[in-house]
Amino acid sequence: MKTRLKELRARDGLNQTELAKRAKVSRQTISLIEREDYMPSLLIALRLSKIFNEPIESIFIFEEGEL
Amino acid sequence: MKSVMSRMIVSALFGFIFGGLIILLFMNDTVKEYILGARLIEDYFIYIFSITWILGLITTVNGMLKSKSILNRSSREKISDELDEWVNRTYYSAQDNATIGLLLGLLTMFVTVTGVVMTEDQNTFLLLGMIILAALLLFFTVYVTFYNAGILPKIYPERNIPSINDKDYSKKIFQVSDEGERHLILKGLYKSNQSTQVNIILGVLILMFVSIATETNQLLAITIMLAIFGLNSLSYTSALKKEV
Repeated sequence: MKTRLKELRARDGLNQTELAKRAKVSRQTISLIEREDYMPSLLIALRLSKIFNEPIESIFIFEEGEL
Repeated sequence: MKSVMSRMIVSALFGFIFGGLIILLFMNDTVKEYILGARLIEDYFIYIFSITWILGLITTVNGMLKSKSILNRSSREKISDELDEWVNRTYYSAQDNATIGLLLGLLTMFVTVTGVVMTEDQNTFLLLGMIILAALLLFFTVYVTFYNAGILPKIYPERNIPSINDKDYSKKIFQVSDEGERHLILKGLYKSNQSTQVNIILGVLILMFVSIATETNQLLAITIMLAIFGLNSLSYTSALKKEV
């Protein structure tokens, strides 16, 4: 799974701490997701989708074999 | 001001104890014999005691100072990615220091008890002093361990982190962790559990060689270590079975 989280965060001028606060998670969780070390739950994915006003599949990009 | 004062008191105390022990270690044999008694000078445990005690104190004080620096910096600066990363790194480092300090404190107590048992011609004054110093170090390391854990609610007041005095502290601290933090906890615990299991077996092998090489029976220690190994493995599978 690839993620555009860092790119979207830069687009909206948010740092990890600010995004974490909005998504109601810790900064470590945002950092883990950005490093693609952790796949978030549906709830967090939905929150991020709402914050960036982007569909989940445009934030988290799966390769064909993964689905 | 208060922090500067406490740092000065700790430094003065440390300097006094460290200096005293160094003088004791290198003083003239006649004077040393007069103070310590002839028998104890030949015994090695006073040196091991001094080294472990000093190292334990240095490590524990260092851990406490790291926690104090976290409190100072996080109260002065606005929260940012860089600050949060630094706080986390320094906090884990402070915890490491406290853990090593606690281990050295326990080792110091162990060395003292062994010394008391082993020394036939006992210098009561010295042994009493060692027991008091070992107990003080142990209390101090336990205090710092609690002190370090107690700073978390102050750094993250919005996160509802339980107080260290809470009787369900371990359970509650896990509950307030979010999914990313739990993922990290799982990874860390899984790794440490795996290495603990391997290290126990290595420990048992070493004890077996010691038994053979020195012709001293280490069966009790081997049995205890194997029991810990078994309990650890069984409690893991038992926890998994409950969730099936």
